[in-house]
Amino acid sequence: MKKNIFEYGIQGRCGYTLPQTAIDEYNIDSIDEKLLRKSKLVMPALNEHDISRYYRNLLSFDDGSVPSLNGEKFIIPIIEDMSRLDGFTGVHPYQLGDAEQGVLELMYTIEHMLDDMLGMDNVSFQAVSRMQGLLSLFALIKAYLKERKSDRREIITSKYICKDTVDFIEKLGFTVKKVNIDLKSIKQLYSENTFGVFIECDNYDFISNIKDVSEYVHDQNGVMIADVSNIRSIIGVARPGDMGFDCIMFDLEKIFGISYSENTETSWAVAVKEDFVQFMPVPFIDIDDLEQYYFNYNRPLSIGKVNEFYGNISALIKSLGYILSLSFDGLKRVSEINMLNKAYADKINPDIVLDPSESAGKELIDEYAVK
Amino acid sequence: MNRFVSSTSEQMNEMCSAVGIESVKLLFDFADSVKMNEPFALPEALSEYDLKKVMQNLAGRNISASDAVCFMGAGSYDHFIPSIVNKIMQVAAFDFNIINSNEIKKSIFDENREYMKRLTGMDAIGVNKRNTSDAIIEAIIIAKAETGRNKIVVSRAVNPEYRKVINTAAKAMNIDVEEIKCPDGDTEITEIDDSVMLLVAQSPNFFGIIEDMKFLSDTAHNVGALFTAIVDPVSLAILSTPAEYNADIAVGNGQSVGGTLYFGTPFMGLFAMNEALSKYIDDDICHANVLNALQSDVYMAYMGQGIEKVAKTCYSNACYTYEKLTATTSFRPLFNKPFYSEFAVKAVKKNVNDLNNRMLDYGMIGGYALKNEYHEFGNSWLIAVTEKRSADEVELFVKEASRLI
Repeated sequence: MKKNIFEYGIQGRCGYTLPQTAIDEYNIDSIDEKLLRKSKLVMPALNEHDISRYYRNLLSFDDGSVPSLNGEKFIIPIIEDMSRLDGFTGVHPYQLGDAEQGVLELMYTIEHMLDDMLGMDNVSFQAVSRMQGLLSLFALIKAYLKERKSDRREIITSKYICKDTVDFIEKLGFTVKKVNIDLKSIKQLYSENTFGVFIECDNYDFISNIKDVSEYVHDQNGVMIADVSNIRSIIGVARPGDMGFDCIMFDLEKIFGISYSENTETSWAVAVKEDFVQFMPVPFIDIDDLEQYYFNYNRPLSIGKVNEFYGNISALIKSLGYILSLSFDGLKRVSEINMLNKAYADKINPDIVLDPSESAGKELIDEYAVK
Repeated sequence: MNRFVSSTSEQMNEMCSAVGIESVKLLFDFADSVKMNEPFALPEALSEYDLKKVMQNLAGRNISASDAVCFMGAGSYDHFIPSIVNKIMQVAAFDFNIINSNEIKKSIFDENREYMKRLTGMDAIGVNKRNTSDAIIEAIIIAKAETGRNKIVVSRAVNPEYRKVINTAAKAMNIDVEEIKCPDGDTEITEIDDSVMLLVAQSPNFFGIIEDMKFLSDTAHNVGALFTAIVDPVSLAILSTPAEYNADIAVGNGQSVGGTLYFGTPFMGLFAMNEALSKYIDDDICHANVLNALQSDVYMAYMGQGIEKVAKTCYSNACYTYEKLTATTSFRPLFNKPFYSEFAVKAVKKNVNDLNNRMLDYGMIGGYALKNEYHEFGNSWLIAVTEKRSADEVELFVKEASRLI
């Protein structure tokens, strides 16, 4: 059995140095004893050599698991490097506007790129976890319903929706009804108490009839809502906005290849059509008369904040890097290859269930299918 | 051909024949009714070098804590991060095993949990949340499920960012929120009634003041409410732990254990519970950020027992700065309560926002202007002094601040 980090060190060994402040130590005994820690804290004792050896060992450990093609993305070295620039990592979130123009411009630029790319009118990047994404989305809808003095509380979702999502929506006081996403079933289920349809775009079967569905839902004054994290393969071909969605959420990490795998650097963006913009989280980035970027808090009907500070800046840097490196043709090509890889993998081995990404390439899929 | 795609046109044609279609375009037939007519506008694809120029230009228009001396905290702290952290993270970002091997992931999280367990003393540590807000929302959901009640009481001395998130979440869940005032800097608690499901307090609080968490915790428990403590993990090396004051849930800002400022980019949200609530623990390692957990692990391994020294240095540096600053005629103390590494002073003359502007010209990032969120405290300045600040830096800061004001 391998030693863990706590067993690895040897008490007495020491690896740290701290900045030399030349300030004399103030005795913490001047703080009331009841506010101080009573139990003794024991930490591992390692020097840097131990640490580097330990983690090299840990990371090179091979438990024989087969590399998965599931959602594998290519990490672009230059983008990884750029996300570590001091000018990004060292910026304090409450700094003066003058001292943070670069990061504000970054946020502004990518927001407007995504508006176009998705056919929506406004994007907020404040949410970073799926829970915060769902909270923003449904708090928005609650505010919208309130504004319209509607007391509808029922939502229709795809029957494949994940349980956590249903649980969370129900906690917000909504009722969830599950159904196949096609016009006939939705018509059957749609009642006077229904405010909209929520779709998780996990496969694309829904797209062929989505236009009819959204036309019907809009005729009933309903809202079309979706989690479009998996639209990576139709970027450049179709846009959620054109499909009739009013409010969508998505994980930048999944769409723009930020890290190798899910849940490593999640950043849940929420995008809406015009009617919903007034309820979006604050602050949003704006440009003043002197062409300076600033945080605008003037959105009286906003749902408020769903997260401390402004979102996952690292994910925004990486997304922008990815978009700028590929441009429209590249993004579209990625979609085509994604779809083709999937079709090809299904053809040569229908038994394997995988979502081969564009970075896999033909050789790898052949190899994988043989396994 | 774009450098980021692996399949060549020949390969694609070959694959199309294998699939039995003439062109890859046919695969998108299902989207016929919603296809876009025109491409969206994007600049031409950038080369690696040109992308570097764009990014460096953006980064260059921000002032970072390595260009200027940072005395700002308010929820995001300029701590020292050793080189070995970045070195290991650069390797890990390209490491495939870390994603594929559940065993490696588990090792990383187990380490992380063990560190947090030792710091907080709590029984059950969940996989880390994305950040403090994320953990707080979870705490609200648990308190609601556990007590079935419908009201949150939150101290006004809790970071305003967290309070705003609590308000948004509570409103969406139809929960009432009541705020307790803090005229003297610490939470001035009166009785709470038995409709309260959750009492939320922070220590060190937004003003850096070390709260009497035992008293607050007892107050909550007296009426059967849960108590959630928002903590700074580093401070727990010297301050009373959530376990010692019987917190039901401890959440905290992991940024202080290995994270950079990064404009508030989420790093890690500590999420710990006592034994009675351990049934709510999310144990699924797939739900957490493995890279940030690793980063924090390496930081903690480097610091080891030295984490106590970090906490003590933060405390000493803050005390020193406080003494120097309040010895001038330009600033006077705002509160008279024990603090950890952050404190508030009242500026006698000039607006502290203007002062911050001037300080930047002298290469210093000044404190947080309290009146942005706390009108009752007027023209006050919240100063954070981490272990990075030296006597020279503090003296220069005090000299320029009292001169410019």
